Amino acid sequence: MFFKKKRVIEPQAPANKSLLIEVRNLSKIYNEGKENEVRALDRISLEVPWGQFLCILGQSGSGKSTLMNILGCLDIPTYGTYYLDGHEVSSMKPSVLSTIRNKEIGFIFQGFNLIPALTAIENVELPLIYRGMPANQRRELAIKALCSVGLEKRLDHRPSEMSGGQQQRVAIARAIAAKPPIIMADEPTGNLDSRSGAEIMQQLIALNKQGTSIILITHDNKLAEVAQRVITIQDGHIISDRAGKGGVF
Amino acid sequence: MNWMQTVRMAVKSIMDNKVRSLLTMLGIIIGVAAVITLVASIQSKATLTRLQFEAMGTNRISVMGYGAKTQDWKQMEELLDTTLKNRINGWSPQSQYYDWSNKGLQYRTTKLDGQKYTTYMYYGNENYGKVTNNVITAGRDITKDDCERQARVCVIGETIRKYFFGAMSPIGQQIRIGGKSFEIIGVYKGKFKGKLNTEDQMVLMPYTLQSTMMSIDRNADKQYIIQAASKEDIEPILTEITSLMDPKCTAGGGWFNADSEARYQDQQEAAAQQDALLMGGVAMISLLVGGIGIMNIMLVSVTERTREIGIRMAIGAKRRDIISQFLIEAASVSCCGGIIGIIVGCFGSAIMGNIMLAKQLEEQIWMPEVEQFTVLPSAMLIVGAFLFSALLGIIFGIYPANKASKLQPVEALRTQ
Repeated sequence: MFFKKKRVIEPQAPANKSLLIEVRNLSKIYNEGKENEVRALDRISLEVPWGQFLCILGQSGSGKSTLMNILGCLDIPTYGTYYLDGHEVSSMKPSVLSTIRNKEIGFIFQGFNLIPALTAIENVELPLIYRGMPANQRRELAIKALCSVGLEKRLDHRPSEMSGGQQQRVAIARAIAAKPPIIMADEPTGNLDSRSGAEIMQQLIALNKQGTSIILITHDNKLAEVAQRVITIQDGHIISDRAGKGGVF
Repeated sequence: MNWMQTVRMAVKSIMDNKVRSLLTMLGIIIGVAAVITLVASIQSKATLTRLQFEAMGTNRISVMGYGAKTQDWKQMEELLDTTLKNRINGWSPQSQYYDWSNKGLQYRTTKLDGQKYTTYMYYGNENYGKVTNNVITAGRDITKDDCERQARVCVIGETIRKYFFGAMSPIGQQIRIGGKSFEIIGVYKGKFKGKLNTEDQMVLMPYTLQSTMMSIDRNADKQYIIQAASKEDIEPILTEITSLMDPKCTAGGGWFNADSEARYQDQQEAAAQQDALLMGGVAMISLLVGGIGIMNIMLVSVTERTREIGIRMAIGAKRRDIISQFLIEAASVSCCGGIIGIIVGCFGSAIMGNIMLAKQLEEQIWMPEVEQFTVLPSAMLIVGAFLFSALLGIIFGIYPANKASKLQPVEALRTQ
């Protein structure tokens, strides 16, 4: 199985509890030791404090998606350690990772990733269902989340009955319904026209202002400037780490 | 994860793909319907056989023979009253009245003779009603006193009462049997709903009248009915009376036969149960095929919905959430199939049962109260079939569900 590959080589110093994310010497290597070995991430170290709007900028194939998958606990690193809110994530069992994804992280994907058979409200309720929340409470939270993204009239529409911008707003509602401390957005505007894209970005900025940490992954230099901090990745290495303009779009 | 929600979602996905779901369920539907139809039919046939036995008389032993002298038969009667007293509930002669001149029955001007329908006329004693499971509905039965006095009395069957008297009371009326006048003292309840030409079309007279009613050939066969106290008593009784009477009848140039159908009743019922098991087992093979069909479609579903599984995992579904989702879906499909199969099976067994009944009716007259008899699967069979189909869905859902749960979120999300 996939998770058996995990190896932690050197013992690490205790994590800094004040940091949201602390990554040390993180590597992700596919087909290690074989001819077609790919170092998607090569000894990356990174610290992210609470409440930051961080952008990971990189071209296609730079390793930025791999980094997001690891930061989002969807994947585990080959080497290195990853502390999320002070917890060592890279050694956790899949079921614990599921719980972390459920409670700590809200995902927004480029392809929206809504379940086509479910209505908007059912899609938003889904993470709350997996959390084991009672029906009336989760319905209330889902409606609240959908209202906050301006979709109060689309509660019972299926994804196929909505525009791309609306679908992405449902995805945002799903990500924020449970009020996770982190939102990870992977090219959230990639499939949208510029107007819908701008709306989505405005919403991310607003969320950040309310205190949610945001990690935005993009290949778009202009979009990256929205963030407070921009990290550029190339060939699995961080090549620059600078401040963005922050909050202006 | 909330399983009611999963069930609702599973049912919704069944309803969304009606044709596909129906085709998936077809194996289960056919299997369950086949099991129910076959088992219910066979069980009903066994019930029918039992009813038949009961109508003839519980634990009934029929004795027949000729060649022995009258005092030899008296000796057998004594044996029944003494040594075998505790083993029997009662006995009665059951000699038939031979209506040589075909005078039939007559009440006032209404006549019923052999040209119309055969009437069964018997000579019996005070135990006759008891040993043949006949119940008096009006008047009284023949008594010992009637037999000793050679009273000209008779008890009539329900069909005769209906035929001659309708709504009128027959008690105390005079009826002519073979040209002689008899007083009706009682009526036996019908076993066959008063249809003409059934065993209900009977008249019972005291056995002591036999010699006055007809000339008896010295060699005429004697008949008795004995009701054993229990099934276990049948064998000893048969042994005792056969060892007594068989040599005597044979010596007189005749033959003797004592037998009981009830002896074979247990074997027949056991054989029917075995038949049910065997046929049910064969039909279960088709259920197995149905289960494999479900597994197949669930595997397709897992592949089709890889991305959905990835999304669910990304937002926090654990392995066991995914497993339970697919297991519940498989079980819902097979349960729906099971329910449809049970409905089809009920119709099937009603149809099969009626064909079977009609055939059995043609073959024999001993069919008690068939009008009330409908072939339906027992509650246990229905519950069993339902639970089995649910179990089948779960068993054949395990492999696809496990496969789905082992998907890696990153790769599942990458598929389109």
